[in-house]
This record gives sequence, C-alpha cells and structure tokens, in this order.
Amino acid sequence: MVLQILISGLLLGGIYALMGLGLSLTLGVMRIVNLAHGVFYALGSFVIYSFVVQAKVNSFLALFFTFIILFFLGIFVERILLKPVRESEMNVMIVTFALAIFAEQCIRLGWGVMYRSTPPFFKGELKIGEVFVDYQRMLAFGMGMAIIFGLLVALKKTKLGKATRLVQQNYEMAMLLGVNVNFISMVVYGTGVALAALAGCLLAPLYLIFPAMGWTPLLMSFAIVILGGMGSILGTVIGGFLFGLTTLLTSYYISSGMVNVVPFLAMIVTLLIRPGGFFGKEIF
Amino acid sequence: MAILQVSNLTKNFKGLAAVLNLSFNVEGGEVLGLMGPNGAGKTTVINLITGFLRPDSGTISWHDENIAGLKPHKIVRRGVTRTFQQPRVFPNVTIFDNVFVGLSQSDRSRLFSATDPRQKVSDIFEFVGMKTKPSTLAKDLPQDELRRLEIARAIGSDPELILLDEPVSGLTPEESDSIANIVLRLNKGGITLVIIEHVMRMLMRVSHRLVVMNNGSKLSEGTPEEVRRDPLVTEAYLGKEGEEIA
Amino acid sequence: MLKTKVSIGRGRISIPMVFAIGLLGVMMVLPFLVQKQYLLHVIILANILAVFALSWDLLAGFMGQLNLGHSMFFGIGAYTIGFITMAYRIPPVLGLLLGGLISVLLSLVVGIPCLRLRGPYYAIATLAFSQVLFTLAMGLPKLTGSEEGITKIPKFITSIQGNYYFSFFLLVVAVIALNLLFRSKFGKKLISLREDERLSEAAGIDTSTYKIIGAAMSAFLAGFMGAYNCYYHGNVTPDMLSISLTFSVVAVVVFGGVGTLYGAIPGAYILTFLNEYLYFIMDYRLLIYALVIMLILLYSSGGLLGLLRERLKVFNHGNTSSQ
Repeated sequence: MVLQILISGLLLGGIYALMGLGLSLTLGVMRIVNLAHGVFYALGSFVIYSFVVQAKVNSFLALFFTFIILFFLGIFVERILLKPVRESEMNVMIVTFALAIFAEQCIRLGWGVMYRSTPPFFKGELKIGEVFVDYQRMLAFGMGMAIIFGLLVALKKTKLGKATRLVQQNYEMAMLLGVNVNFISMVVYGTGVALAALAGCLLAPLYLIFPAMGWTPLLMSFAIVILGGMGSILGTVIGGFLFGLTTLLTSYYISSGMVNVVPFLAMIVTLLIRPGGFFGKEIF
Repeated sequence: MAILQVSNLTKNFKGLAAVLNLSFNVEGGEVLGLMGPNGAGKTTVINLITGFLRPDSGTISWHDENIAGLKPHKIVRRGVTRTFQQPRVFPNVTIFDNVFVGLSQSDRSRLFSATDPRQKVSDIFEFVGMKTKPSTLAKDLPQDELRRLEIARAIGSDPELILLDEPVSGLTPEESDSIANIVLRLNKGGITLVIIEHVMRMLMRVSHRLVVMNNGSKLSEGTPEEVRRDPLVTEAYLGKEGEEIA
Repeated sequence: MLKTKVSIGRGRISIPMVFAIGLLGVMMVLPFLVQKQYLLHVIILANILAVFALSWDLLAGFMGQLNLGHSMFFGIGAYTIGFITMAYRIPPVLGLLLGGLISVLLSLVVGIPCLRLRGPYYAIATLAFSQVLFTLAMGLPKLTGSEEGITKIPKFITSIQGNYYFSFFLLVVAVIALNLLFRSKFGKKLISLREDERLSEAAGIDTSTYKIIGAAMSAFLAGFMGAYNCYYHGNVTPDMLSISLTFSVVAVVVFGGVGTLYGAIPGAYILTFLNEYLYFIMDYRLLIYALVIMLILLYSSGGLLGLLRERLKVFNHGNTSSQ
C-alpha cells in the first residue's frame, strides 16, 4: 500500500513540478509575482474539457490546442496588463490577483459552478506486482518529464534559451548587451502560464474540475519554487515530487477533504524555514 | 580612549572575503577617515558595525560591549548612527517627519538641547543648513539638500558616533566644503565621526587620523601626513585615475 | 478653492471637511426622513465594509504590508461569536471585544513567523493562512456547520435604526482614531515601514515590533467588525473567510486610493450599493470589480483619491503634513 502511494505520489509530483517550473520562469526571469498562475492552471483544465467533452476532439489534439491558446493568452496578458505595472511589485501583485479573480469569474460564468470531470486520455491501468498504475497518470508523468527535459534543453542550447538565462541573472546587463528583453518577457510569461495550463490539462482527468480550483495549485507552485530554490530546475522537480507525495499521503491517511490543508501548512513551514529571498540572501 | 574597537573582523560573501581580519580603533572625539580603492570593503565595514550585516568572525566593541550581530535599531539606540552611500529618505513623508520619526527621546545630546521636538528638528535643520521648508515632501527635495537631510536624520537620534558613507561623492567642491564644515562643527560639538570617502581633499581636511583599506584588510593607518608618505598606499592607488593624495 | 479654510470658532477647517461633516449630519437624520428600511440596511453594510477596508488600508496602504488573506481576521472575529454564543450567553460588547482579541491572537500567529518575509512572500503566506482557515471552516461540519455556517445567533441590537447609528459610531471612531494615529510619532513610524524598512531601522525604529503591533491593530479592527457583522446578520458563514471577501476589500481600497484612509469610505459605499441595488448584475459583480481594479491600476495607481489628489492636491493623508 505504501508503495502504491509512493508511486502515485511521484507521478503526481511530476505534474506539480511542471507547474512549479512555469512559476519559476515568471518569477525568476521576469521578477513578477504572478498570482494568476493558478487560474491559468484552471483554464487549462476547462479549455481541454471543452475540447474533449463538448467538442469531442481527440485528447492529444486538444492538449496541443489548449497549450497554444493559453500560450497566446499569456502573451496577451503580459502585453496589456503586466508591462505597464512591472516596476511596482505591489501593483503587480494586486493586478495579477485581480486577474485571477476576473478569470475565475469568467470560468464560472462560462462553464458553471458544477464539478465536472474529463475522461482520461488512455483508459485502463497497469499492474506491476502489487501496485496499480493507471495509464493516465503514467502518461501525464511521462509528458511532464518530457516537457521539463525539453525546457532544460531549450534553455541551455537555443539562442532564446541562453538569452533568457542571461535576463534571469542580470536584467540590466542583458538589456545593455542588446538582448530583446521585451520579447523575452512575452515569451517567458506565455510559456510559464502555458505550463500551468498544461498541468491543468494533464490532471483534469484525474480530479474534478471547478472554477475555484486554481488557488491550491497557485500556493503549491509557490511552495515548490521556494523549497526547490529559484532558478534551480532540479530543485523545482524535487519540490514537485515532495508535494505530490504529501498530497497523496494526506488524502489517504487523513481525509480527502483535508487535502488542501496539509500542502498549505507544508508551504507555510517551507516559507518559515527557507524564506531565502528571490533576489539576494540578506533580508535587509 | 577608544570608544569603538573593531577586532579581527571577517565577512565572506560566496567564498570571497569582503572584509578579512580587520582591526582598528576609533578614539572618542576624533574624526577618522576610512579610505581605500573601490571594492576595498569600506561599506561592508559600516554595514557590519551598524548591524546591517552579521560578521562571520571577530568582534565590534562599543564602549566595551560587543555589538556585532545586533539589530540596527538597537545599535542606533546605543548611540551609533550612519548615513548611506546613496542618500535614503522616506519619500512620501515631509522632511520634517523624516527627522522627527527617528528623534531620540533622550536628553544626552550636547548639541541640541531643545525638549520640544519641533524646535529640535528646526535646530537640526538650521545646523545642517537646510533651506527647504519643513513641510516639503522628501521626494520633492532638491538633489543637493538630500545629503543634508540624511545627516539631519543621523543627528536626530542623538548619536555619539556617526558613520558617514561617502558623504560628498558627486558634489561640487563648494557643496563638499559645506558638508565638511558640518562635519567639523559636529566634531567640535563632541561627536565622533568615521568618514568613508574617495574625495581626498575633504578627508585630508577634516580627519585626525586615517585608516586605509585594500582588499578587505587594513593597509595602513596613521595621520594624514603619515599615510600620504606610506609607499604601500601610493602603490595601491597607482593607476587609479583622478585619485590624488595631495 | 478646495484648500480654502473656513474659520469656526478658533479653529480652521478645510472645505472638504465641512462637506464631510455636513454629509454626516444628513446621514444622522436620514432614518427620520426616509422610511425605507432597506436603504438603512445597505448603509449599515457599507459602514461595516468601510471600517473593514480601513483596517486593510492601515496594513497595506500605510505600513506597506500587502496582506492577501485579510478576510481571515474578519472571519475569525465572526466565528468567535458563532462558537461562543452556541455555548454561553455573553454581553455583546464583550463579544465584540473578544472577536477583536482573537483576531489579534491570529495576527500574532500569522505575523510573527512572517516577519522575515519580503513583500511577495508575505502576500503568499497570508493567502495560504487564510485558505487554511477557509478550508477548515468548510471541512469541519460538526464544528462550523460547513457551508451553512452557524445560524440563529442572538442579535446585539435588534432595531435597524439602532444598528444604523451604531455602525456610524464605529465608522466615526475608527476614522478619528486612525487620523490621530497617523499624526502621532507612533503612526509615522508605522508609515516609515512602508517607505523604506532599511532606513527605518537605521533611524532607530524597531521594525519587527512595529510590524507586529501595527498588524495587531489592523487585525483587532477587522475582528471587531467581523464580530459585529455576525451579530448584525445573526449568522456566520465561510464566505466571511473567503478570498472573495479579501478581494472585495482590496478592490475597495484600491478604488478609493491605497494609503489615503478616507478613500476607503466612498469605495465601500459604491461597492456595497452596487452589490445590493444592482442585483441583476449580481452574478457579474466580482468580474466587474476585478476589471475595474485592473483598469485603475493600469491608468493610475492612486485610485480615485489618487487621481483627485493629483488634480486638486486636496487629500493629503498618506503623506504626513507637518503640524
């Protein structure tokens, strides 16, 4: 049984890592506290629901479309909402908070408050020894890992990726060196939220979806990024696994109603142990 | 009699020693100049003394009490204040309140004995030559008055020792002289000062003694004359443009 | 013209102040002029929201602590009344104070660990804390009644008129108290936290202690109002702890102008009246507020009063004016 939980937890953790990574990008590269990160996760779930359940589109195709749509939505948001308020941290937080509320309301008005479910991409499960692993989870995990790997490669090898890393290290220097910081901001934000949406797509078949579903993933993503350390992909992945495990352990040993509470508490504990700053070690 | 004793002070950042085994004393009533090339660790020393950084090792003794690692406000209460390299103010608050908010309740000040806070702030402004109206918001303060406000703020806490971090950098010679006069008047009023500066002219004029730092350690120490003649010092400054010890 | 002062006795007060006092006078006699109970009810709600919003402005606008979980203070004040009245009868004034006190305790539990956290982390942590409370309120039906909450709480003041005057009393007291606070040295030290925390320390201010005390004051006010809200409605539900409530308060203050103190009042009135009278847009409320907030922040970060201030240089409260 414990093994079952462990495996399931790890598989879940892979997706969490994906979400955490998305946040790590916007936080680390753009220095933007994106409180709307969770609502993009929710949007991912709802958009793919529409494609698959309402429009009867093939799941994989839907996944692809959703990613693209949310990516461009992210760019739109970045241009219109974020670019003007970038300098003020407080305003960015209030604006993205408002955006999250706005989008959540849009979801509620567009799809209704009922809890919905999406069918899995693959039905069925695999039995390895005592452990059951359903295909959906494995697929989600596999895709998550593939994307993370792809991201790593892109950041290290491609020109855009290298430029992005430069911006993360030193914004001013990157500008002076002629890097098109505007373009990078756009792409990074779009990618960051698209990753959240992707996580939402992959997890939609596993859990019920509802308009306010974004807040827990939002806080969880922050916790993962804080725990794993800014800019560290490995750290974020490990953090993701940790939280995946915690979630599953909670839902099994305590109750599924409390699933939200323990990750939150874990997050609070994380914050207390490692307040570490985004930008520099000394709090002063 | 040394009121501040820095002993074997060390501070590392990511493996690099910003300050390495630094020791020097500050005598009561003197004006001590702290100089050195860029990156010598001078601002780090101020940060360590005033509680903004914790040393990795060593002690900072203020009247025989080790204050290393105490929070900044506690150090201020003990009579040590500082100014910042880039002048810092509370922008959306009047310049009056900028000083008022840190005003000390104690009556230990020898220079400003007014008990009414309003009068005290007014006296301090007069002392530093502040020409702007007290009800002006700090963000509307003209550039050249910013340093005066900083010094006024540092004085307001009734300090025994003030550490000035590059008080005249970027100022014209006239403005620089004006600040130097304030320093001298403060010193005459019994306040001990430690000044970090690059502008030699000012340092030479006001300092009783100098401590020269390089790469985080003490390079030389003594009166301005002694330091000027020290070959180690000239060597450290060779090749630096615009630096004259004369 | 707006800066002209009028002499009254030995004092001089500004024209906007005269206007405000006049308005207050009108509000005081309103119950005698108007028979519509519903209007009075809406005004009471507006007053409650206004004071609650003031408590958030204290924290966020004056101290610079962006608390995104503020509803937890309001809610815990309300739930305190809910829990206590299930078992005991207590004098309502004690209940109100207790609501405030428990809220202060919560602010310590939340605030002390969060002392070291910079802005964004503080915002996330407070959000997380409030979500924990919300989840607990929803998830422990035996204790909290879950979604339905606790009902049939005996009311404090039974008449609408009584509540009307009481809520105004609270509003006026809060405004005066905060006014006095920010003219005092203590209040200015709180403001210095927002302006430059490092400098504040360098000026000899114990920033940690002031953060805690300021937050406690904000929490007390919020908890007190939460308790009153519970008494007024006769029930307490989890949405008194919700993110939506926090957002409402943020919206009110952003709209009125963060750090202006007075801005929260028209903000609260507008929001409450829209809520209650335009019930056909009930479903779209939050959507519209969110949209308006985003637009305000894009155009001017000062909110309504910020815009006014720039044009007319009138209200000057977040900026301390010298004596």
